[in-house]
Amino acid sequence: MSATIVRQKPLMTMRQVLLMNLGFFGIQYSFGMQQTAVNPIYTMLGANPDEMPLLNLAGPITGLLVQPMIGAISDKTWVPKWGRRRPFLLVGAIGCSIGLFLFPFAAAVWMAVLLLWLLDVSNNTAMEPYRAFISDKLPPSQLAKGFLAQSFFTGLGITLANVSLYLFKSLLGEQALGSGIPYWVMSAFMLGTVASLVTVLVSVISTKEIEPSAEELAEMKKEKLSLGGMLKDIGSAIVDMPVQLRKLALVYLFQWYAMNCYWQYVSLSVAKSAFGTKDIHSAAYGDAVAWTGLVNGGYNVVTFCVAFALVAMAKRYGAKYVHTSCLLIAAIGLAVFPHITNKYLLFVPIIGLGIAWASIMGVPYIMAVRMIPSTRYGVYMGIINMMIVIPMLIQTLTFGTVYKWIGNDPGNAITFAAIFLAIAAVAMLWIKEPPIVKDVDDLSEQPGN
Amino acid sequence: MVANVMLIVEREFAYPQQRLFRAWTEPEEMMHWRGSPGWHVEQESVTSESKLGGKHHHVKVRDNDPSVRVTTDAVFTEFFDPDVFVAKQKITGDPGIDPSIPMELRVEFIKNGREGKSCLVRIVQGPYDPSRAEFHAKGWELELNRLQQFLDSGPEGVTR
Repeated sequence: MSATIVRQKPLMTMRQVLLMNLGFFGIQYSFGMQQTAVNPIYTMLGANPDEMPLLNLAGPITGLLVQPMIGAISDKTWVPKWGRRRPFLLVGAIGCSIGLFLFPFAAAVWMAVLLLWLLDVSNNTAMEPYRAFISDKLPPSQLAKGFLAQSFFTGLGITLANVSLYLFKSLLGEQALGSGIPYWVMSAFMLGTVASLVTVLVSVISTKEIEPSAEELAEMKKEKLSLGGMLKDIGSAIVDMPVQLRKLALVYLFQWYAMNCYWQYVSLSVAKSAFGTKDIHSAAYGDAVAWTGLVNGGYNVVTFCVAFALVAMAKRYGAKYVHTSCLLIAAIGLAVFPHITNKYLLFVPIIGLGIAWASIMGVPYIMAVRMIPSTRYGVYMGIINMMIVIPMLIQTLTFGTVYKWIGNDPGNAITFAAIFLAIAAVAMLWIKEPPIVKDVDDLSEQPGN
Repeated sequence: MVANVMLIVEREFAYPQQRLFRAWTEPEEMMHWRGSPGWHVEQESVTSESKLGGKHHHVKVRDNDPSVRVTTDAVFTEFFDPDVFVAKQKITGDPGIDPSIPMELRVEFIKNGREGKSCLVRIVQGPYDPSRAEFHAKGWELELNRLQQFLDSGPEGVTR
């Protein structure tokens, strides 16, 4: 007869959950700097706008390869005193800190590209084990709280990264390093250097991992990590993938292609429309970059404010219609955005993107988890991650050419993003949403009663 | 004491995943083995809608004192045949469980071996008061012994 194994997992308090996730703030600050400051630095170092997609190749490639690989390696790791996931969080945070520290000193485009690869590899090294850290520590009933805390710190980290660019510019003025990169950009990177390391350290020190039993350790040593096994798992999950999840992949194709276009061309678009310059070496372009940071911070603030309301609306009206509406609002906002010449008015259409970003980060997942068994969350989360990075990779490889077709105009790139978001919204309507789950308190009509 | 402990109970059975899932979810099968020794499930009380959002109801009765009854009302918040089901439960009549705090029962069925002839059953349930967690862990252990006996008996008309 097989033995029964019994374990107990204590529930965590909100304070413990927040401390455990604090490190996500630092990692997301680093990601926020990548979103807003890296492309302007490329242009300051002399890169052409149509080269932007290729210069950003690191993001999708590392997302596609590094995240699942590190996730699988950390599953088979146990370092006494350090644990299973924490070594990866620390290594990732140290890499982010080094990358952020060195970035403002890049004197040529190739140096900035190498540093972006370091940043992306480090971000991804920390990101996947961080998600698994939550799954390891929290019982299934608290997982939603854990992931919600991660979303909270995602918003906070990216917002602060964007706002810090504007604040440092106001404080430090126009003085620049020899390479032409201003001190205010450097200061925002230095803040990121400290934030990513310190916040991860706080999480690592304050949260102990659950030690595996002797049997589990023996099992871990016995099971060798194999690339073949990993690929087989992914392959069988793709074969078994529910039809509705395949339709979500189509939505993601347009949605993430559009988001990448926005991030890559928003600074140039704001410079052209609201600051009246195409000269990347002008003071006005520096002002536009800082203002874009504020605009991006603005949409992340909207994201904060509406995230919880959207979750409640998705439960009431269905995730499908909520996400469709959010994408359409963003499409309208982005269609208007490049035509606005008053920099203050830019905050109005960007509200739409903030609402859509809140939806993108949460609402499709509410639907996806009802389509897939939670015993296979790990592999399907990896596949959903691929559904994000593959469109980004396609955008990276194709948009340089598209950009030429649309007249080398950054405003047109934003309009293109708006059209793709609208297509994603229409594709969303094709999905047949699984039923919405009732709550246990609504049990008045028991079949047995 | 605050109920803040989740129990995780695992056991491997030499039966396929589908067979185990059926034994856990079909009322005519559950009524034969659910309940620790000294208890039985009142057969006519078992009703279950095997689907996402479906409701479940059963009453466990103490063998030597039928006035002691523990009622479970639940709703399936996840239902993937034959991989996993999750039910949010309201348990009344057990002195160690506060009926105003919903419990969660999650049962995973993980295929083992190349041909999938065996299956690991993982039960995650709680939250329990720490002082009662051990008692309920023992209860699950005994209940799984009963499941093993039920499956081994290969009951006619139940096993398909």
